Amino acid sequence: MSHRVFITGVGLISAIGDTPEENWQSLVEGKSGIGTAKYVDSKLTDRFVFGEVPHSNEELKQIAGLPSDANFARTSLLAFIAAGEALLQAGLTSSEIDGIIMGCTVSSMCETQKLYENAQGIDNGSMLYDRYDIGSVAMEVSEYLGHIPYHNTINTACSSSANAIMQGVMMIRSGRAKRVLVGGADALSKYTINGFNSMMLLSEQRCSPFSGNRDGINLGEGAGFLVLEGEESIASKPVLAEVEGFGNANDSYHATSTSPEATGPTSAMQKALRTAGISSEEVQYINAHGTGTENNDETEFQAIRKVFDKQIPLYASTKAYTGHTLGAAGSIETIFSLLMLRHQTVIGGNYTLTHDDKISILPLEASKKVPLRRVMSNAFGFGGNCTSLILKAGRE
Amino acid sequence: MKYYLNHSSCISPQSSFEGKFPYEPFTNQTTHHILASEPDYKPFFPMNLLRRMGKISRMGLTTGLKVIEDSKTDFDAIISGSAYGSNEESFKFLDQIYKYDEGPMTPTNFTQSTTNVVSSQLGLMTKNYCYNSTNSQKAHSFENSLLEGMILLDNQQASHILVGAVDEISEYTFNLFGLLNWVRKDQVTPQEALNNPGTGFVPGEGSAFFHLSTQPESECSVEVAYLKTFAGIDQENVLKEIRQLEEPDLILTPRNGDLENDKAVNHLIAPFEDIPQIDFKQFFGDSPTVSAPATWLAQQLLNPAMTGFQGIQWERPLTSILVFNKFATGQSSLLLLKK
Repeated sequence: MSHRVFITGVGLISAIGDTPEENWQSLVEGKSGIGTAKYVDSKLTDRFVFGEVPHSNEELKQIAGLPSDANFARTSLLAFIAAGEALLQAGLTSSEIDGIIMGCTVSSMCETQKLYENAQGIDNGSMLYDRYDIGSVAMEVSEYLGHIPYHNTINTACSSSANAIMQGVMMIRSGRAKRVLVGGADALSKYTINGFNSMMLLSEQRCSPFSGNRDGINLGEGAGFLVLEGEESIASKPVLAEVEGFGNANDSYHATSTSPEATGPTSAMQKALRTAGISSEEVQYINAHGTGTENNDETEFQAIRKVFDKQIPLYASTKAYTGHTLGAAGSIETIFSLLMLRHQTVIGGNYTLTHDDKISILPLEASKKVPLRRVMSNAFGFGGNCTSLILKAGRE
Repeated sequence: MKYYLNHSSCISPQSSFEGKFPYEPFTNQTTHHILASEPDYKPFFPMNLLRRMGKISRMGLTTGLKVIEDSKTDFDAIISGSAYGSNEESFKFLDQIYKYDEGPMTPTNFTQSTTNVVSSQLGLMTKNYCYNSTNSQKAHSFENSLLEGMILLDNQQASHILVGAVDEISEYTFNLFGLLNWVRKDQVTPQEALNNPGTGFVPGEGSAFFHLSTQPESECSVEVAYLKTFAGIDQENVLKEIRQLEEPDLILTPRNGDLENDKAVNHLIAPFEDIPQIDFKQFFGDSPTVSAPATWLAQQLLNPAMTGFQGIQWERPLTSILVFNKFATGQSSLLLLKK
């Protein structure tokens, strides 16, 4: 049984780059991917800004090495690219991977018009009839990479892929798998854009998490995948980071908003510290969920204050770069956390912060070099699903 | 470590929620699919809440709440599985998008359409702040949820887990099944389908939840001795695994009257052809998470008071049942329960 689980490969595509390296470059340069969306089919792109991956589906197919007539929805194409990169970096083939566990909320539903017709029994030739459900992408990724025997998809809304990482870690720790591919993917879709708009949660400008003037979310899209390997499986192979702590808790307050007491977020962070066996002073940076909504950011800050008490570490949210990538957010931001550890650099939001009475310590504004040993990454979702992960540098 | 399923609850096309046993003829047969026999929900929800709840929530929450009530246990994890989630709510929201041409609309259908609605509402209704998760992997959604529970126990992250799966058959899922040529075109009951094989299955719906722990907690407890899922292209591995399993007393088999499916089932179950078999889909109709009600059925059959079922008699109480599932997605699973 492996008690320590390491990350040996990562893959990432988002509005700010097609690879982890490109994403990192944009982050350190302060280049945001938020802007007018060109590819998603929604009238609301006239009004709101998004973190859209700057490629057409045809271009994504090319990047994924697929023929132009390959019939996959955008979510799957994003997943293929990131999953392929992760496997390549880990130096593994699909036959060496025991399972794929991913988070997803949109799946092939990003083909909203086709779904709308198909669900009414209209055969429009989409050939996506059995791929609108959440579990389809994991199966497609497995086939794209070769073949992986175990498939699972978690949908805990915006914490989905953080939970996928956690499930992968626990699976290895229980001895049920040696190596797993974990991550998440979601594309922008008319469905989610209208969903968030119906709740009046979208912002017309680049989002500004934890700032007093914040006014909502920018939806984004992307995919992030990580190869997890147990201590015994990796031998002398280089590792990128260790997943040291994990915590899942429910806020159990309201379907779509977080509790004033911040019960769920507080408990998730405390559990992550407990499984890592460390005290709160040993975390140097928090990659916050920070969506840019009034409710999330206020609650999350309160939870951070409760957990870290007097010594609140540096914290920030990267959603002003990529937008909120929903089911992919947990894994994309865990990879950002890993890159920060690797480069000993914390990424500031690079937007102007204004005072907020409820947020007494503002997040990091400008990126800087700092000694980092551990980073915490948060992901919270509708339904009160809260998850925190702790990454530790290297394999010491 | 050992894993036990203890108190359980099931809503299905049968009167399973009321514990009526053995089975009675269907009363909810519509033209091409078979609906759940829904219980009186009033003891579980206030009327104003009930009116706003989708069917998947009604079925999932009620079976979950019943297990919590019967087991008198403080659960420290809630896990549910669903292949399609709340398709009904998703489509209602989709319909609004097109009807109002992306104008202002009410968010209720959107917020109720998330797949995690059952697990999270169970948490909310019972003020449970613990581990909470939802798996959606087509016809492995129940099995993966059970496995997640077992992994949590392995990792000592929880000790009493509420785990189950639910799927509804909405008009929209039914339409998608139709485009896939998955549905029987003749108007038959699942039993008639089985006796007159053709193309497609009779869709059903339902929910089953269980109390999972590392100790037997009640007289109804059964051990989960083996659990494995197989992707579509790994079907020959089912045969290999079955060959290595110890012989169960009974097998619940996934024939559904679809010629191709039943032929594949016959092939895979060949090593155990001498063991009594009961085709469980004739009682529930077919759905990607029908393995949850099938597991509930297996647990009932392992009750020492049972002496027979559906024409099969046994002289001494059954000690092990293999639940074998296979769905139109190509996926299959094996779950061995022991008394």
